[in-house]
Amino acid sequence: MIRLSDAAFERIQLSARSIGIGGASVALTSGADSVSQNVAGLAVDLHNPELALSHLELYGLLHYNAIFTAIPILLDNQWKSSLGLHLTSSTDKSGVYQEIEMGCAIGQQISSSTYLGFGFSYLTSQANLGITQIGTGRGLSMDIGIQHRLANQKVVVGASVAHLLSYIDYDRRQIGGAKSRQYNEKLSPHIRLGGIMSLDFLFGQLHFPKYRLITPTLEKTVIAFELASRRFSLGLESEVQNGYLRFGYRYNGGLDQGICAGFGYKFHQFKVDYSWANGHFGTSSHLISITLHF
Amino acid sequence: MQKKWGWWFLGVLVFLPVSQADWVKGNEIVRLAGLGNTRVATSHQSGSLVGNPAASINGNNLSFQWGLANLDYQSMVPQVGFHAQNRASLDFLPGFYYARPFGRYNLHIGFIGQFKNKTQIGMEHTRSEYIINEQRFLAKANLVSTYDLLWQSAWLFGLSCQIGTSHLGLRIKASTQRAKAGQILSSLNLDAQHGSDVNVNDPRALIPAVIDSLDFANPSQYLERLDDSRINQKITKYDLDFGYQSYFSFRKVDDFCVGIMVENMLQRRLIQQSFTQFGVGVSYQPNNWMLGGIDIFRSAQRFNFNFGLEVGTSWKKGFNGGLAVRFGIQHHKETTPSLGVQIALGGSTWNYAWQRKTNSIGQHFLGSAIRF
Repeated sequence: MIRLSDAAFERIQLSARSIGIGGASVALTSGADSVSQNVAGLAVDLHNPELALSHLELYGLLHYNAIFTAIPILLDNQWKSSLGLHLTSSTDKSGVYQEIEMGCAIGQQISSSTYLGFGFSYLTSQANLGITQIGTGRGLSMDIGIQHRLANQKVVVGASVAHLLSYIDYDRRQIGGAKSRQYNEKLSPHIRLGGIMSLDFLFGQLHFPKYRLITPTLEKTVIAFELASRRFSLGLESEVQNGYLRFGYRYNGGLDQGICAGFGYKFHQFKVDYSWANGHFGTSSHLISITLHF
Repeated sequence: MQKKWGWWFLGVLVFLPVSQADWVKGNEIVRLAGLGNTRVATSHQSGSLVGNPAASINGNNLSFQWGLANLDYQSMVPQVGFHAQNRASLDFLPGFYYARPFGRYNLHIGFIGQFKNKTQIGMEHTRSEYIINEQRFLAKANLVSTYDLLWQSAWLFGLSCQIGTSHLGLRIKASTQRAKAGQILSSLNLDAQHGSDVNVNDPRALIPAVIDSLDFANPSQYLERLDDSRINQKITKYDLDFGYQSYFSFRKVDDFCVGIMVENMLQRRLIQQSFTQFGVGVSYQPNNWMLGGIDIFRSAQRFNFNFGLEVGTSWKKGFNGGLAVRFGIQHHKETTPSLGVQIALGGSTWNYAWQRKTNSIGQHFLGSAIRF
């Protein structure tokens, strides 16, 4: 019998855009970031190859690096498709436990308004006691995701399951009195459901009057919500000129409950995003992402 | 003395703008050391071994460098039982690389080392005795050496690609760290036994008899060496560096560069933890003879800053020559200034750089490069 594990290879959000809106990104994500958020977003609005780099300092304890790539596949087909690649690494400050995850993903438009994606990852971890490696883990996992666009793309709903299928093989070495041990684990699937809606669409549905000054801003502002395993997130992103402002809130009663905020700026082929997330117990996390368009 | 150097540096700065010719950058590691390790957006056409792996390369470049750092020698007050005690440290920083372009791709391969050595040597008082009944003389002198070594080396392989006015690069590093600490006890044990016919009360007879009894044909029998290692670990891990540079045109073509760099992307656990360095930088080259750059790095929850300025020129009258001077400031826990100078003769360049370090002579680098 293979055990289920929540502890290892947790799908941490490694996109500053996503954390800035409280993590409610399953329906919002597009391009290279999608590889870790929702693989279905890979083919959405992707015209040129995209490369994203992220560095996260989680609660000042853990450091994450990520590199995501999305490459459009030019097929003689009316539906878009893209290939994604990713490499992430994490460590604590003293290097006691480290994880590396690498893999590929495919995003495919399956109808005029629906996108589907699959991702495959190779997972490896190691535990160290001082400078001695005392255990390793190696395995595979598969993600799946979907996005559906409605009302002229002003409403998007999305769902993703990270680690839908997974298998990790652990090898613990003999240390002191503890015997060496080999065992297997399956990672708990991480299910996310969410949606985004353009504010001008929402206000239109509520029959709010239109004002010349604020309507263009409302058109470029979306609200996002997400229900994930034991977490509810709410966020807002507004595009102003070449910049972005983001706010969000995560509710889960855990360590990462609290408000989030961030901003982004586009400059030539660069896009720089920063986000800050306040934790429940006074902890905070900082994430910077740099996206390059070719 | 410092004032003299300042005037000399200023004089070179005034002289260099006279010429506008383009010039070769020399050994990358020594050049960047002189620039305060400003490397994210700094263009370097002779290699990209420690700088941004995306940097473009011109021609075939073969280069080596040698560095010395943290030279320290101190005589200590001897402890009880010791005749003399001294403390010394010296770091060696060797390296070499080869770099060349293949169409729009650039390739570099090289080796870089940092061998940190610390030792404390103590000579114990010599103990000797003469056993009258056995007509035997015994003497023992111990040399106690305590050592603390951290030898780091890495083989590096990098590939970069030009995409329009941008360059994208990736570097794979096979890093090895070896830590060794312990104590070496080197003893000289003299054991001489003379014949019973020697008058032990007459030193003029006894001393030659003792000396004649020693076997100088096989002196190793009197030497003992015991290496007691407290730490002896060697770890090899692979890691990745990623880089990106993009050029923009302000006053002239491609005079402004923006760079991004991620070092130690996989954050592998070695003996000394190698943290990820996430850096962004800009450089500006308003003229052929001048380049300035600035980097900001985020690593281990700290911000580090590098600033570098370089002026250089070359000429072809009389002989093919070139000269460059560099100045840099590196802020990483402490602020360290650096200076560098380069002389080019024909296809070869010779670089020197100095980085100030607290509590030591600093780091001195000497590098040579040829382009063919």
